[in-house]
Amino acid sequence: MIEGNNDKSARLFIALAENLKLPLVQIAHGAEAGKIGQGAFETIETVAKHALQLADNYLMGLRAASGQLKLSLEPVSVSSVIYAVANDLEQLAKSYKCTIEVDYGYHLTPVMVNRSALKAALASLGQGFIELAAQSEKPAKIITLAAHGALHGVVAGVFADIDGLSKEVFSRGQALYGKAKTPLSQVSGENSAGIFIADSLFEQMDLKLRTARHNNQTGLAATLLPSRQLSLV
Amino acid sequence: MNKILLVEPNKILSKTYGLAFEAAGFKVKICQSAHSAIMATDQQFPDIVILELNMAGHNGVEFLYELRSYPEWQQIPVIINTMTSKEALNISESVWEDLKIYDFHYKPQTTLSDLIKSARLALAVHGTPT
Repeated sequence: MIEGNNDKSARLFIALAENLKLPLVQIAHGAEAGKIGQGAFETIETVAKHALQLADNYLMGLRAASGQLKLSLEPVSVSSVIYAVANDLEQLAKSYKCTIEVDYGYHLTPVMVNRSALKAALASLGQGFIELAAQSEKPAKIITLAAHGALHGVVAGVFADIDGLSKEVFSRGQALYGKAKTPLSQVSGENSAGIFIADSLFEQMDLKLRTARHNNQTGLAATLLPSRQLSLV
Repeated sequence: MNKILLVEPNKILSKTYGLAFEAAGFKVKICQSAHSAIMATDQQFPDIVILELNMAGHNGVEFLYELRSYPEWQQIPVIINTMTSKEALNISESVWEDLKIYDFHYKPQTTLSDLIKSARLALAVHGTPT
């Protein structure tokens, strides 16, 4: 049976609601710890900020899907979006004892996307990856926001050393989010809604999120189509 | 000082719980996965285990079956502290009894003081309270 847009939208909402329980518990318990002098208020602030951002990113995808928001395409420099997202995620990564790195070539061609939606998608993806990578007991956890040139455009996404993240695991996760508590159970004990919110945002731009490699890391990325107009300049 | 094995995959929560339990007079060992929790149990023999069920790879229920398969670890009190409600888990009471779960906490409806109180009670019944 083919899944309708309403079912998918309901599943994404469930995934978001489940996911938001985590930062809310972190905030509630962090605030309670503060009463006995053990609170980390910077962490509470960061967690709250990113929970709000995830909800906003979800709403952007939902509005685009329902036609309330038109995601107009424009020529965009991927590297500037990656840089901005990396800056936004830095504090959250620090709270989870991860490091954010960026890696992109200096001569990447501009791409045709909606800048806000690309930023929201990469931020949601990055947030999902931080939660994913933070569960690994490996000492060095580096999350790389990267872009590289490819045959049909620019591949942009988020990459990390996550054992077991494969095409099959990701497609099973796409089928299970909103139904299972841990749709990517092979790699994460959490809900990973950020990843599926990113997936829906890319879908709204007619792009496809898929598993990819960048240097020695595994990740999820989309191929962004080049802006032919600007490449002629 | 009672030793707690805190099996919590989320780093922010494990830090918060760790600090709260230490402030309450416990010695805390934190593990993020079922595998490292079994190793830690073997090395440190905790007085009590606080366990999140949702973990990557082997989940908390698998950890519990492994833990209870060793005779010397069968009496260690275990408290579940998880993001999944008991209803959503859909695990029968007989399974909880077989696995000797002392208490169950659903994180969104549990305070740190509830958790600490629960650990103290479990130790008062099954071990040495602090």
